[in-house]
Amino acid sequence: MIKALGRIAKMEGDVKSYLYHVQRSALIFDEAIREYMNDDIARFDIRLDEIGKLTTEADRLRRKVRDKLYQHMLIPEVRGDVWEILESLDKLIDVTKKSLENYSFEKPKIPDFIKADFMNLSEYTAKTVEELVNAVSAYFTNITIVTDFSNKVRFFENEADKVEDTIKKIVFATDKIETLAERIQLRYFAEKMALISDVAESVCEKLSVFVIKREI
Amino acid sequence: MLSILFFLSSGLFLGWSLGANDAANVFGTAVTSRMIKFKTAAIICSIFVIIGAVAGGAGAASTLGELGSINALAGAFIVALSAALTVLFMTRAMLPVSTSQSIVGGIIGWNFFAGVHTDAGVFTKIAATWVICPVLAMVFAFVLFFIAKVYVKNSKLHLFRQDSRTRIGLIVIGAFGSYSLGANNIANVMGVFVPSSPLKDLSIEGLLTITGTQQLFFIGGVAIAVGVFTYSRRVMEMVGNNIFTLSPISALIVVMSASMVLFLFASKGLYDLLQSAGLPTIPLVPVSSSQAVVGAVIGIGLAKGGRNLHLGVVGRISMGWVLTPVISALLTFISLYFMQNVFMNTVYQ
Repeated sequence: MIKALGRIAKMEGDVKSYLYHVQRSALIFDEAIREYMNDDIARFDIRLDEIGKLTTEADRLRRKVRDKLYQHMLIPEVRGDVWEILESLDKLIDVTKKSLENYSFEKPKIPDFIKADFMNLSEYTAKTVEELVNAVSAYFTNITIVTDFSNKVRFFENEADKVEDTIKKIVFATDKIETLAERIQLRYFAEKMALISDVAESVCEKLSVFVIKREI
Repeated sequence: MLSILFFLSSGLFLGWSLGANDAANVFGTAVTSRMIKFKTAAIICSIFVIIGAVAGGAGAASTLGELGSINALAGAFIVALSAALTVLFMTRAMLPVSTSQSIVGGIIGWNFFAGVHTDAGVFTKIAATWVICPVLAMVFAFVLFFIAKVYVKNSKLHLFRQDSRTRIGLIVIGAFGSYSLGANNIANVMGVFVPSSPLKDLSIEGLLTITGTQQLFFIGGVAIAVGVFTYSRRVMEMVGNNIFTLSPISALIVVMSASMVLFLFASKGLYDLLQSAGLPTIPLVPVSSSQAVVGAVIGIGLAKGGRNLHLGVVGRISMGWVLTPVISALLTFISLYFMQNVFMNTVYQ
């Protein structure tokens, strides 16, 4: 019995730690984008390295939780749901990491007049993920407040979409960007950043269904 | 000895059938939802059913005795056999059936055959409990649902911790349910054999005396345990997957409510306590654990706002209240005739 209680405490710790990694990935992303926009590439590269290590550690934690869930037959009723949430969050970290890697590989030239919008988009994206982590955390501890956080996720995702649209409009309306290739590249980067908040919202929708299943 | 065992065999068959069917009411959802392993459930269920039968079975059995004291072993054999066959037929016909109602029908059939007067007061008391049992379980489940809801909301337990506590709850309540099942339902299995039982009291070194009735109930308890181990898994899978799909906490509430009802109708201690306090007593009568479970599930359904509630099941249960004792009584009457006139056995003194 004591062993089982100890195991449960460890599992709680692992899930908490995993969620912390997801949250950190969004914060690192936001910082890295700011540094890129400020042309501080050295610090940007450090952030990229940081998110790479974080992804590896998050993967390890996710597998550990999965193994324990199935080995010890925990939460049989909602085990599939919990696993799906963790898998979706993993996808979120991957999308975040890939978005930063694209900056590193392609080194897009962001015009000064649009940098603030890119930083806004990054901020809203990070906030979406942050609220999603709060919602997932509440799913584990207090399902009555999951909806509050889910509403915030939807709000920030909507704001991120608006900024994404603004960037696209500016990019294709201005005559300060010379080539079509540059315009398409900037649109691509805006879309890839907004994709993070889209993924976060889709996890949130799943969560809303899983909450109903958790009602006694 | 061999003839005693032969005559007891119908009771043992009834016990086996009870173990096979009713263990699912206690541990069915816990096992099928994989909250508890079948082996763990079967061991706990068997141990506590036997303890309940031996330690607490006397109360409900004595009420059945008041309805009709079957004074010949062959008569008791027929009553138990007819009750078991009625349960089998009704189950095959997919009609809700209760061993308690079946055995009562059998006793009344014997009363008619033997020309013994059936005490209308006792019969009314027993029949009333058939209605009260599911209704009471429904009320318990309704109230417990809201208590559980408030507890889950306020305790803010982590999902894993809640799962662990539910698991412990299912084991503890399952043990209580098994005890109550043994205490309440052993009367159905072995009650009719009590007046004609040839088993004598056993004294162990003068320290402990095991009465003949307790020995009889122990044998019946073992038969129930065999039923649990050999056949209940299939029934559990059927109950867990087809009849109702409940969350583990709701399942816990259902088992708790049904167990409380079975306990109330079996506890001699509670009966004496209420009597000594001058309060109205709860009759000690064997009731149906299946119908208690159905009542509790309806209670949960009502607490959830009455969604997905199939009230048709209530009508089917009501039909069982009438059909089961009537069929069992008729079958007993006819079988007693054959036992007496064809097989030349004394079926009443």
